[in-house]
Amino acid sequence: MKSTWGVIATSTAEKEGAMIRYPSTIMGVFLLLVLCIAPKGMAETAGNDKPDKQGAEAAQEYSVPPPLVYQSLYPCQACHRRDTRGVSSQLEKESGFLGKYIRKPDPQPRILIKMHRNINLNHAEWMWCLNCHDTDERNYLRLITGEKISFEKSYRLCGQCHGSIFRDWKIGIHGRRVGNWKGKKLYLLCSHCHDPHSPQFRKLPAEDPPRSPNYGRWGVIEHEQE
Amino acid sequence: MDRRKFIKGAVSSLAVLALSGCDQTIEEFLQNHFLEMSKDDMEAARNRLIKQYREKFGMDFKLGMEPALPEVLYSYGLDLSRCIGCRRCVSACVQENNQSRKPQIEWIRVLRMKNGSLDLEESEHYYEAEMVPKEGYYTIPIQCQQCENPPCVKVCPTKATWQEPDGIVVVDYNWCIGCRYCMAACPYWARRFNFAEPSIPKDEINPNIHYLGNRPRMRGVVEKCTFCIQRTRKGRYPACVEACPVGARKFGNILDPESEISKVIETKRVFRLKAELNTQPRFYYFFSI
Ligand code: HEC
Ligand code: HEC
Ligand code: HEC
Ligand code: HEC
Repeated sequence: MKSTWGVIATSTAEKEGAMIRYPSTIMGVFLLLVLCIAPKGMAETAGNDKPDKQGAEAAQEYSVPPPLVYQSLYPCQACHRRDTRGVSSQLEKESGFLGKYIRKPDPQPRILIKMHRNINLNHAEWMWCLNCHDTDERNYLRLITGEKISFEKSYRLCGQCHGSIFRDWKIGIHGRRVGNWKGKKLYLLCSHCHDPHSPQFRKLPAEDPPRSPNYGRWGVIEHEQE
Repeated sequence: MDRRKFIKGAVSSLAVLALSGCDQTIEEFLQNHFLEMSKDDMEAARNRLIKQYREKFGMDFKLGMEPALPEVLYSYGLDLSRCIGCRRCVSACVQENNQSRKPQIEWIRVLRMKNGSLDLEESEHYYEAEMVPKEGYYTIPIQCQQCENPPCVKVCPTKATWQEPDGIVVVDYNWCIGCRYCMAACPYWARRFNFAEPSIPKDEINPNIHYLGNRPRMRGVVEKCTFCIQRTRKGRYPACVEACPVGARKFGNILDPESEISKVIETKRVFRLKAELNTQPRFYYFFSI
């Protein structure tokens, strides 16, 4: 992540603000565990499916920095699997841990207690996880049309309901681009700034004011402080 | 120009006298105005500066002298409906552009105003570092507006400040005599003066510099925002644009109809500060909602 983000390494925004959406505590530990013990081939299964259709509207692509979800519980299908026959017992044998989390999709809206308790859904009132996440293939998001999209294209998901903001984002007015004004630029995803589950933009601490009064309003020194 | 001719003529008799007690070298004193330098002059100036900086800071700088890119005219947009006044742009600018930490120099000033107020004179820029945005207020960051019709340039007696073909108003610190007429002429309070020797902790120095931009300055010269000339002439975004957590800062080539800034002007209501003065800033403020 750091290296891909080299471009903004000079800025504090990387350390704070937009980029600290996920508390890096338990998440990181989990990810590490999941990645270490996830059986080989898991990620590939997902890759082979190629769920993105080449529709006309989908054709327009934008380069984005890696979605934050890749630093979190990804791949989701380490646990969420359509077919769990044999997997859990085998994993439990291998790791003694992940197996009990392996599960089939459960479309029933409910309060989650065994996992994802940190997710506080505070978007539109009627919203449920599976309005956005694909039921069967949890590594993907799903549009209203049924089309599956990868997390890199989550802007299309948000764009379905936030049309005018999405239009502004596409022409660079909403959100932010980094890199080169002339040449390769990356578009920050909506989810780099807004937590999709609770999207209201959070307040930030301001940085220190200038030391007063080194210079006055007119740029003229009022008196030297030393 | 006149200064140069005069000095050249009087070199043998006067220069040495004039220089005694001053930390300039003779080469530096005789250096041509940047706009008149030949390739060789530039190379010589570059090597001299790099050497001088190595002695002073104990590190190697990458000194660029890139000219304006063809068919490029920069403009800048700032979305006042998004700015929250967090000052991340200020600190990114200080770091990127080697602004003196002590005495403190900051090219960007963030003014906070009461909702409904439009009077810049009633703004506050020393407001405390609390959680932002703060209800009841809005903020306007101000930096050099890179005017198309810059009053600061007109008043400079030594032509040490001028407008480049890409629209950036620059200062040649070697030609600035510190008279500060430009500061008095600027209606946006955008220029800063090094009233004492600038200082920066060594590990915070940015060694990627441009002659007309963020190279280390000396006492007695004026400096200001250059749209990060050392970055933008290489195609990159200015530091403040990338640092803004709310994405309020937009930058690009106004001659390119697809650039963000062209789109802002095309689709949003924009305005410029103190438009009645006819300075024609290349810096646009706008409301996206
Ligand atoms: C470590 C295993 C694990 C990983 C990795 C994981 N989940 Fe889950 N997930 C669970 C468990 C266990 C539940 C059931 C929680 C409950 O019912 O209380 C669940 C429930 C859900 C649900 C509710 C619907 C359902 O099928 O139960 C959604 C949606 C969901 N997870 C999405 C994700 C997404 C998206 C990712 C990847 C970013 C992910 N999960 C990664 C274990 C996991
Ligand atoms: C508005 C659409 C939306 C809804 C509703 C939604 N998600 Fe998500 N979720 C996303 C998107 C988009 C991402 C990827 C964010 C990113 O790229 O970093 C994500 C990421 C995740 C992740 C991985 C990152 C994290 O925050 O831990 C998990 C786990 C997850 N969702 C689970 C859920 C569960 C469980 C629910 C229901 C309680 C749910 N999501 C509801 C859109 C949604
Ligand atoms: C299915 C439709 C739908 C999708 C998909 C959706 N949203 Fe929303 N979103 C809404 C609705 C409806 C509201 C208004 C909620 C309210 O006012 O309480 C909203 C509100 C918001 C807000 C304003 C929150 C506030 O309180 O200020 C933000 C920001 C936002 N969404 C971001 C996103 C992002 C980012 C995504 C993609 C990950 C997304 N939305 C996907 C329907 C959607
Ligand atoms: C650079 C960070 C950033 C990115 C990227 C970003 N937003 Fe926002 N968004 C903001 C900020 C800041 C606000 C203003 C929040 C406020 O005023 O409370 C905002 C506000 C919103 C709102 C509330 C309505 C409004 O106009 O205030 C919605 C909806 C929204 N964004 C959706 C999106 C969607 C959809 C995307 C991706 C297509 C996106 N945002 C990308 C920073 C961002």
